[in-house]
Amino acid sequence: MRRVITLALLVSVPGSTASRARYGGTLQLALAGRPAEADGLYADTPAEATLLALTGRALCLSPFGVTRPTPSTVRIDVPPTLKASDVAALLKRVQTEPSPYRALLGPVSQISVAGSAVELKLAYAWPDLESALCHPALALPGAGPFKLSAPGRYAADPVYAAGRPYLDELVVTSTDDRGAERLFTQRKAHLAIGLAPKPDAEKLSLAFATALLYSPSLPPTFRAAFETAVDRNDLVRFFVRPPAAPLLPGTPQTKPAALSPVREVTLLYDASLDDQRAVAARLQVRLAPLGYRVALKPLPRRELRARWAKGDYELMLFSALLPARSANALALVLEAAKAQELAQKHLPGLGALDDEAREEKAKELLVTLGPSLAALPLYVQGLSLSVGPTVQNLKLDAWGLPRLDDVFLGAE
Amino acid sequence: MRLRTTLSLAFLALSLVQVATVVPFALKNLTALLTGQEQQRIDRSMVAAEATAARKQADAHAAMSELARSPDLEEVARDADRKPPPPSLATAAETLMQKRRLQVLSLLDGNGRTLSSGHLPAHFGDVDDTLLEVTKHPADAIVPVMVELSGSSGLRKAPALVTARPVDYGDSRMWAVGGVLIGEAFATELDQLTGAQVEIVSGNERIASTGARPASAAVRTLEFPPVAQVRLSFSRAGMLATEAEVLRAFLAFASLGLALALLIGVAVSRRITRPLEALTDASRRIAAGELDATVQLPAQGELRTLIETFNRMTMDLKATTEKLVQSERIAAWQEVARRLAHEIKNPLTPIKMSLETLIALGKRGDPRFNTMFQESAGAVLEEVERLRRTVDEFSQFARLPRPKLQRLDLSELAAQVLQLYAPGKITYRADLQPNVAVDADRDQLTQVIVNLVKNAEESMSETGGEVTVHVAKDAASAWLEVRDEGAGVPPDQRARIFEPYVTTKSGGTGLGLPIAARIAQEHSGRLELLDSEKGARFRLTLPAA
Repeated sequence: MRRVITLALLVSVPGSTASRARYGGTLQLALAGRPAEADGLYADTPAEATLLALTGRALCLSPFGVTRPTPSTVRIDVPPTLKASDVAALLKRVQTEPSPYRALLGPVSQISVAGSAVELKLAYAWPDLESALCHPALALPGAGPFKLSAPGRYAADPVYAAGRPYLDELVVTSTDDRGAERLFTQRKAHLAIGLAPKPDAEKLSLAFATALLYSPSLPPTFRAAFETAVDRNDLVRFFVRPPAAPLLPGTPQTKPAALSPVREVTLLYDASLDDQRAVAARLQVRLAPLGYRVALKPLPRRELRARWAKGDYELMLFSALLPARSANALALVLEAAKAQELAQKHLPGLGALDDEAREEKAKELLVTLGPSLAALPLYVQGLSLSVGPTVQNLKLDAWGLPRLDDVFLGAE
Repeated sequence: MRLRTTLSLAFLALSLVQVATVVPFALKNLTALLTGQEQQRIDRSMVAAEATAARKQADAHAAMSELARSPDLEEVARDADRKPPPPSLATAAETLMQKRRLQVLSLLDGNGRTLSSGHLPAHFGDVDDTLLEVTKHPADAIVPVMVELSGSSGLRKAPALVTARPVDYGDSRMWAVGGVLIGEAFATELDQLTGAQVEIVSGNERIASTGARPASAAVRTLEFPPVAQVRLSFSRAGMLATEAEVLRAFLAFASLGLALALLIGVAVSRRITRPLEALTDASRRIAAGELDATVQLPAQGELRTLIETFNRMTMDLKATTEKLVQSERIAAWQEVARRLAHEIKNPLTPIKMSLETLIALGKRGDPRFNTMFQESAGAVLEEVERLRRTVDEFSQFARLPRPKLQRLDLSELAAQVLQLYAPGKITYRADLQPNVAVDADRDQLTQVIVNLVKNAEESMSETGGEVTVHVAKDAASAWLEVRDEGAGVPPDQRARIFEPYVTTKSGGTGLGLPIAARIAQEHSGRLELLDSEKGARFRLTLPAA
């Protein structure tokens, strides 16, 4: 599987003139759309992850400290204002909940609390575990620089362990595209998230991947039927909110004959994601001439993940925020496609390689193993960001998501 | 059947005839009226339904004409002409469709490729031959087609009425094909407008339906060939319920009328027949001997005349009867006196002759005097005995005592009497049904049986034969028959055999049978001489106990 991902770690976003950092002010943020989830394990769309980062904190960032006392042990130091047991409980929950992100802790065989730290014992060498701990799904809730004081209002925590944010408050207004655009153009919002990106916009990270998972019970010609019927470029251009890019297949396929009699299948998708609804409708239309009568069934995200965990689906649109490192991404992809055997076969060997070799090998495996997985990659998406001139010090993390905790407002 | 019952039934029959004549006729007329009204209602509803369909088509027509002229579509045409087209093109038709309350809208290029679809946005980029075909019709034509829609269970086809409009932009021509669906909303609208159950059918598939089809319905259709047929089922349940209700009311009133007719009939017939019944009852009582019976009922007209005449006739009859009875009594006493005189006189003559002979012989000193005295004395004594018997029987006949009734078994009594007779020349046969109970005086009844058996025996004293005594009963009566094989009763005496002093026997008093007959009469029974081929056959009939 190839993906077009631009990794930009802590990239400063242009559009703001440098000025001296100053405390205070309320940042108005216009959000095109309405985030559906607040739980880190399920709030994995770019917009949800961005907002969750205000009140949660990734375990790889301060005030946490991540060290590796031994090659097979990773230690997470927890600041006194937080509890190590909460961190341990979070990690154990990640391992047990029906989520593809448990693959991030795949190498971890034991989680234990040691004083004010949490120690992770590894079953096999995995140098990318520290990078995995940066994933928004592993962020500790309530440990962020802001506190949710009212719906849509985030107040700065003055005693935040890593230092209080510059901003006093951050107000999020959820509205539709036109409303968000109006707020931004009228300068009633300092930032706008989710608007259609301008043609000359910075190339942002596209880490939110969507794939079509399918059941082995489908005819063997299903993959070929799909590849010949669905144009990913059309999907990305007309049915998915930008910024997005197609995930193109590696090998061309031959169009099979239409099934007779017609095969009835059910396509499950996330009821809270308009993009998945539009893509599902498109797949329904494109697969019909090839003998597939596709019934559409929207489900709440939790129920969708539960069905995924049990393998209870024929077709399912599955989205996840890909990790920054390719090895972690490979583990997540194999977990999502339910290819546990392949994971057990290839991942321990990957962990033994050095960083560069491991990265290359992981990318190679993503390409070679792709056709054998019951998963069809569709597209990746990022978060479009419109930044006003007074917004200063806005940085992006490894997923292209804005870090709002370091932002301050400059002079008008 | 009694006259009162006949008259009552006649009243009832008369009313029944009227009801049987009027009710079916009225019901038939009512049914025709209701059916006519129902038909008119259905016709009006169908006119409204057709007008609604026509209005929808006209609205789609107007909306599409406005769309074709609008700057919105020009903007879409401009976007479609760009290379590559902008992402907003995919949803443009949906926005245009919703603004104009259309349910179907596709924007096609000249080759039928979908530039944007409002009813199926996912159809973007696909060739739609069906809608492309619509572009070949005249611009003002509304064309029924099957369009594809996205459904939860898969793509489905639905009937629609669409029209096409060309949109020229620069060198390129685009087509806007739009209209309305013939679906659930249309069915609901027709249901609310007409009150009918609406079903939309396309081929063998039911597209939409408002409820279940009524069990009894008049069905009309709106045709949208070749894609759909709209069936409107107008329930006849209301009309049938009204008919049934009216029928029930008719029957109720008819029943009430018949009941009233019966009551009135009974009352009137009673009024009419009561005097007649009184007359009948009085006649019966008079026949039974109650000559004082009169009818004292208020009446009018002919009935009053009849009652008065009857009462007068009754009084006349009573007077006449009393005179007759008096005459008969006098005649009967005269007859009895005559018979008695005759019976007494008969023995007196030989007595007198014997005494005169003795006087003559005595006067002459005839030596035969002693011999003659003995003979004459014997003759005189015999005649005196005969006189005595005659007087005794007459006395008994004259003052027969009132019977002392007690429950008796007639068969037992007959058997006891027969035991007094020893068989010899004459045999006695008993045919006695057991348990023949009567209320009678034992002595008097025994006297009757003895008299009858003795008569039978005496009739065969020379020739011998069989005396048969038969006892039987039925629900009302008990009877005893005595039959003999003697000479029988001469025909000229049969009518008078129960009169006093009528006898066939020499030396008989002729009072035995009259006494027996009187005893029978005193016991509310009768004694009869029945016909018989041989001998005499007497039957005593008494009321059964």
